Amino acid sequence: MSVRGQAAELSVIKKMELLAAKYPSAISLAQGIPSFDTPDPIKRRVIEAMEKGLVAKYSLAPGMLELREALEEHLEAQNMFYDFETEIVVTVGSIEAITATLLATVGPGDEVLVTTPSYVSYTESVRLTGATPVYVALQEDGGWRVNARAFTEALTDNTKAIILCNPNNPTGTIFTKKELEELGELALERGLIILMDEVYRDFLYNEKDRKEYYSLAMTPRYRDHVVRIFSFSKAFAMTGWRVGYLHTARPIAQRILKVHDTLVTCAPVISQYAALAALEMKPSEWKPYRDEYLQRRDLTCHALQALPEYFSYVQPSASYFVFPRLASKRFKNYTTSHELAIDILEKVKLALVPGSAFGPSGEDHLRISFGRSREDIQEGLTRLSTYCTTYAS
Amino acid sequence: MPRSLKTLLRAIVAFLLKLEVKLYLWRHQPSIIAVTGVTGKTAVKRAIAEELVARGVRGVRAHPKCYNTDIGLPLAILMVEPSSFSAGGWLKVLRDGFVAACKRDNNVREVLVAEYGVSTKGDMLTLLGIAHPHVAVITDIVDHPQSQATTAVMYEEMRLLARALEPQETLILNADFEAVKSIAVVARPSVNVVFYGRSEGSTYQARDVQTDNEGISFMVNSSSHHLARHGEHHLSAALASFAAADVYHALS
Repeated sequence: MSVRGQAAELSVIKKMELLAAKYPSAISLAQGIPSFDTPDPIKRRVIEAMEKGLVAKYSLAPGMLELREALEEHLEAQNMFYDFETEIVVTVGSIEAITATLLATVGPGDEVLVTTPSYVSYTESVRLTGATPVYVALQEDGGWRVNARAFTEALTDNTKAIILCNPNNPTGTIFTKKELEELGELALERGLIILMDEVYRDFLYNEKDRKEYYSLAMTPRYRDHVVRIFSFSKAFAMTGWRVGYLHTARPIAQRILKVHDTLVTCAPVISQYAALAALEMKPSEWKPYRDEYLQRRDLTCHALQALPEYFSYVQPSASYFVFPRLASKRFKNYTTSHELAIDILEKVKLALVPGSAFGPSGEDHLRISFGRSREDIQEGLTRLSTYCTTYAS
Repeated sequence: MPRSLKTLLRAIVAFLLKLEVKLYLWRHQPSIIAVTGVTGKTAVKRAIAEELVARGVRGVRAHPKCYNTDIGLPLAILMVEPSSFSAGGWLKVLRDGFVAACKRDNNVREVLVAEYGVSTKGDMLTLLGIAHPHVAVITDIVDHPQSQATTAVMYEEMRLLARALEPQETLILNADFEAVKSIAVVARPSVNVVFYGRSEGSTYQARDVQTDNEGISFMVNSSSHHLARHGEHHLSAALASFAAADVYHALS
């Protein structure tokens, strides 16, 4: 087997889902899958495109013209100005965008700074390129904040890129403009590329955060150093459609496009029509979904509050995950979050993601997804409570 | 719902919307600027509307969405939007459309900027049957994998538009596309033809084009401009908007 094939591993999240699949009665609050079906206006548009015979051919490699035009307009409404012809690439979800960007910008001998805790697959994507992921810890004390000094200390002559998830998975942290600009300046000074993964950008639970939300892609001076990535999976309940996009300044976009073309030729055209319909949805059509996620977050946090001797947590401002810290001494024979997650699955048939999956700073935590239905969340948290009271101590 | 019934209902809605547009056009007598081509229609439509407003023109109407089909164009002209695609939703559209057609502000002659989309042979004739434009802008003719129309069909449809213009009406062509430029010859001699683009000889020619992270800077007929946007299509859209706004002023 090739060195690169050996370097990457199946993510712990997927492993937990596979393990859970062995138990017919298992409840999974592991993988970040929205419980909703894709909204009707999206499905209708896709059916129409199919009936017209529009989905059978490849699109252009960067994506359908009308989708990219719509994306340009959508971005412009958020103060991000990118050329649909040369600076926007429609991808097979966000992970293809991340991997294609890394393959186009880093290689063996390079280092990529990855925050911890953060999304599991970043490190595997980095390893696939032959580069080395270097963890930079977020500060849990302040609510999992970015510390620019920690980034500076982690820099070496080999550092080529930074990957940042904002809002962050699994902590739900929204990084401030000041925090992000400090990283932007670092990228300018050292010639780094910042991959901004913003797939949870639509999951902001209060109005102030929505108004003040900042992306480095909004500031022209960072254009040459920022690749912003978004996916339709989470916001529009379209995980199975596998469609997302990236945008960046033309020179990098054109390099990424070559890799994207080599890997996938183009994103599935049927999914591109779905994405086009998603962009045309009115905010009022999306609001009920966000309100429902807010209810689910509160339901999850409320259940954790009832177990204060076992868990402490920071209420997430965004995303659909809670990332509680374990009071490890309260768990009998506790060794690692991974062992604990396996034990919870075996004892009460509840799948959660061990915090260690998100890098070293994630150890002694568990990730609970509240993207699933209220019934699943309620039942899952009841099982967690049962585990704590019956098996933990 | 069987497909044949769906097709019939769609045709009925399209017919009723067309009648409402006719009523609106008869009552309001607006100036109509049509924007067509394969890509860039929305950017050009928006740029023209913005330029007209910036020059103090009142009553500018341009639907924010890219409605440009036999149903979309009436929605854009009447400025109505379906709240849902159910039978009830369409009935509401027809009611709102009728109200919009009847309502009139006597002080202002409206200027409509609308997209005319062509995806198959015959579309242009249908759209011209809904609303005849006084000014027509053609952005480009390029190959488009998801289009049902070939480049040759697109070319013929654009020529049809050019031939349909009446004396004293205006055809604005993107001279950077040879196919678009060549359409000028089919327009009647008394139709006013204006070219825009980077190409030499264009009436609105962009010169000294500079791009950086802040956007695009350029000169047109000795005046300098800056766009805080990226992409050649925005430059084209700006040039088309200068042309359309000047033509509108000259006409009014």
